Amino acid sequence: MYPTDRRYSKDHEWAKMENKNAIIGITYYAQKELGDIVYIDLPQIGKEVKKGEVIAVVESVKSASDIYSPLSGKIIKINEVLKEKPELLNEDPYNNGWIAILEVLNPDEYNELLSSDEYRSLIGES
Amino acid sequence: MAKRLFLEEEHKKLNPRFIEFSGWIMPLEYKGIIIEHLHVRQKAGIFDISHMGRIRIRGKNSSIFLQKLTSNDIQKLYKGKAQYSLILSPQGTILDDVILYMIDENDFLLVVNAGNREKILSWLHINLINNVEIEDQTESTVLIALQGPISESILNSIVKDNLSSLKYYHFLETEIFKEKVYISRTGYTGEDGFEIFISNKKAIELWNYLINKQDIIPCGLGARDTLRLEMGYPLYGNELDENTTPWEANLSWVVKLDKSSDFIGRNALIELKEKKKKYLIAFETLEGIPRKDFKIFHNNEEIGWVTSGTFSPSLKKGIGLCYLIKKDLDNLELEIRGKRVKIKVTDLPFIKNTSLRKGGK
Repeated sequence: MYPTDRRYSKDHEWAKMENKNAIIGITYYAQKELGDIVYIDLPQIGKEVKKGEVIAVVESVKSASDIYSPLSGKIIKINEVLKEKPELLNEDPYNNGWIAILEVLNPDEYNELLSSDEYRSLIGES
Repeated sequence: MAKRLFLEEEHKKLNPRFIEFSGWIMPLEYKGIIIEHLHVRQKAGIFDISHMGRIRIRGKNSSIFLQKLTSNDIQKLYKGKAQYSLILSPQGTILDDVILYMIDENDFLLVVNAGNREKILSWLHINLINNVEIEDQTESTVLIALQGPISESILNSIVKDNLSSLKYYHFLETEIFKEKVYISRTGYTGEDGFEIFISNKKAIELWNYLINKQDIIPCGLGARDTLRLEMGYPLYGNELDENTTPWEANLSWVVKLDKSSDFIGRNALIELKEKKKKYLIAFETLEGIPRKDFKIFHNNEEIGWVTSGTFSPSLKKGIGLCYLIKKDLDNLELEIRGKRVKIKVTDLPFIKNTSLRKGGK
């Protein structure tokens, strides 16, 4: 449920490094807590975000929830497929349900994120 | 402290997500709002709605009393008939929307919203007259709704009397598992269906029988809300409150100004009839999902607010109800997190051709 090839934030997002960029998404736990996701507000390409700032808003039938960026950087790509298929966030949160790619500003921030084991212990699944 | 459903332990076995609603701990969803919603539209779902207040009103002056306390006409009721009605303030605003069941000439059951139960009980006591007795039966019974096109055939296999001749907004006293029950052909989903009033003693058996039936799934408050909103049914606390008149809420059909006797709120309502301060309008979005309290704009002027909004599982888009202070229906925009999106005003219900209308019962 929590792959070891990436790191996790306390707000239930993940980041996976690819060269100097990071792919960002939400965790299995997050999508389960949110319920059926039916809509996503994606960020603009080129937008600069700080760690902990709102990067996207996902909506379930019942409510809207903010998704926070686990890292600081510039958004260079967004997953346009989610506009038509927001359910990918539930069905495949680690692959096809990725949200955005960031050009990472400060690589140290990545190391400060939680490992898979630490994250599992945070959500009580260790 | 929050109230607990009598069937809470049964719900917990199904591992739903719970929320607090009107002072009750209630299942929000079991397998997911969308699955539950669509299942009710296609087959059937059951809901534990025991949070709804159930007040028994008996005595030889009970119909005089209720004629004074409610806006609809008691004289149109007869034994076995249910009636949607309003309880109004002297100012003509809505204290609650209710269903009144006539069990016998001098015996009525009033079903009120969970959040208004205490308020209505004290309102009834304030206005009480001789030879009327009021008893709160909410916590001694369970109320289960079975809703969806196949509801009748499922219930017929366990109910002593046949339900096929029971018409919409009618009810009967019958037996399930040798226990006396009231079954009414009413609901809050827009589908054909029933609401079953059963003693706590037999409720667990009925609940478990129904959830183990093929083609029935348990449904939570989440689906109850999306189903009612697709039909445009109002919800107290959203479309209806003590600052809203029946005229404004499009409920003039349950206000009988000409009935045999005066009722609380009548004089104010005559006065207010041509003085609407707001208009209840239904709309859908082209992008985004409306939520309660989002603002509505017309040519950059704020003219309204959303009272209920959701993602419609049937239509796969955002739908909502809003109040507008001006009846400008073109070029309306909804503000979602600082961004304005166009909305389209539509007729109600959002969903047509449900089993409720097809059945014509």
